[in-house]
Amino acid sequence: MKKRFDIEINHDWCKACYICVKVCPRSVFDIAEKESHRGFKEVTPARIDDCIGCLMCENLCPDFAIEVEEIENAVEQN
Amino acid sequence: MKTYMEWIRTEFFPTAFCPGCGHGIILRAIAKACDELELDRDNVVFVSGIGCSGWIPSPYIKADSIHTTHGRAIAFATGVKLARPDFTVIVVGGDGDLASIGGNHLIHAARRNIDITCIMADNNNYGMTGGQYSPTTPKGSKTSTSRKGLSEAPFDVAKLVKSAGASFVARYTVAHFPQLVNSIKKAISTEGFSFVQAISTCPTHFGRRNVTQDPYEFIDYLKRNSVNIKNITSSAESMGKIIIGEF
Ligand SMILES: Cc1ncc(C[n+]2csc(CCOP(=O)(O)OP(=O)(O)O)c2C)c(N)n1
Ligand code: SF4
Ligand code: SF4
Ligand SMILES: [Mg+2]
Repeated sequence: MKKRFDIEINHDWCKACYICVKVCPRSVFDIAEKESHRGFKEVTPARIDDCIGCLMCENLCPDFAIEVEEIENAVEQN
Repeated sequence: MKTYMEWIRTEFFPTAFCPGCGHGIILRAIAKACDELELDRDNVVFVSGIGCSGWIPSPYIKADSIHTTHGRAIAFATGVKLARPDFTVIVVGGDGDLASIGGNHLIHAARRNIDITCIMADNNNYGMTGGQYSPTTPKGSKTSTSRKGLSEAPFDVAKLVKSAGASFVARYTVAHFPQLVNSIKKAISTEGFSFVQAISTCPTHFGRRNVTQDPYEFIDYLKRNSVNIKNITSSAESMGKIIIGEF
């Protein structure tokens, strides 16, 4: 069964360095077109179903702004 | 929430580091190492000096910490260890803090093989004060004090500390996260002076002038430019590669 993951982004800690966007081997993240109230173009895990849980984004985020968690007992979606 | 977050003082977040600064990755590596070793927070003391790197443990690690004057962290740590030999004492500092102004403390702590762990967040320059060159700045680098390229050769700090008598010496970069965590765990677990040279990224100063200001591209550069000590060829060092591994 395919493992599934939940990705949480803390937009109050993120400084928009985009390490996560570029390091992700599955291109899970998108960058918003408009700036947030903090003046950053925020990152969203737009293709979360493609995540393989490698933790590259979480481990290399200097601001602890990403958390990747495996969803236990995930039901196979077809 | 991941368990290593219990070692982080999130009440001070977002951190004071620039966007994409590698020091935040070293902060996570230290927190993860402490968590995986299941250290008792009440018996751990962090000691740091001055510089962006000095901020890694103080205020961001949730344990007792002493934020000392520039270069003197190892001297204060020696005092803590003498008073409380049962404590785990961990110094975190920069290449400027530990290898220039504090260089003498470093080599003599290694010579005496004092039972402390020392983590050098090495970004090849003085980040906090505007990117001046340090004793680890590679020859030829452009810094705010070597505008046409540095004419001096750097110290190989890992080899220096090893030859002075340290029990454990390793060098990894922020691009080698699992290895970095592992080497910090080994350093803390080893008796005697343990030293981890953690090559960091300062996109704001060193990166902008020498590699790239893009935080990811800088990390990727460190990965591509490193050679493990086990696979070293005679030309690797002379070609300016970063030698990683245990020394
Ligand atoms: C006695 C003394 N001399 C000089 C300074 C100015 N100063 C502050 S931080 C620093 C260098 C920091 O470089 P490094 O240790 O590499 O840390 P980084 O900021 O690069 O992480 C210097 C020279 C000082 N604070 N105190
Ligand atoms: S865990 Fe890996 S695959 Fe999933 S989003 Fe992060 S970098 Fe991409
Ligand atoms: S000046 Fe350099 S070392 Fe200091 S916080 Fe900024 S990027 Fe990091
Ligand atoms: Mg430095």
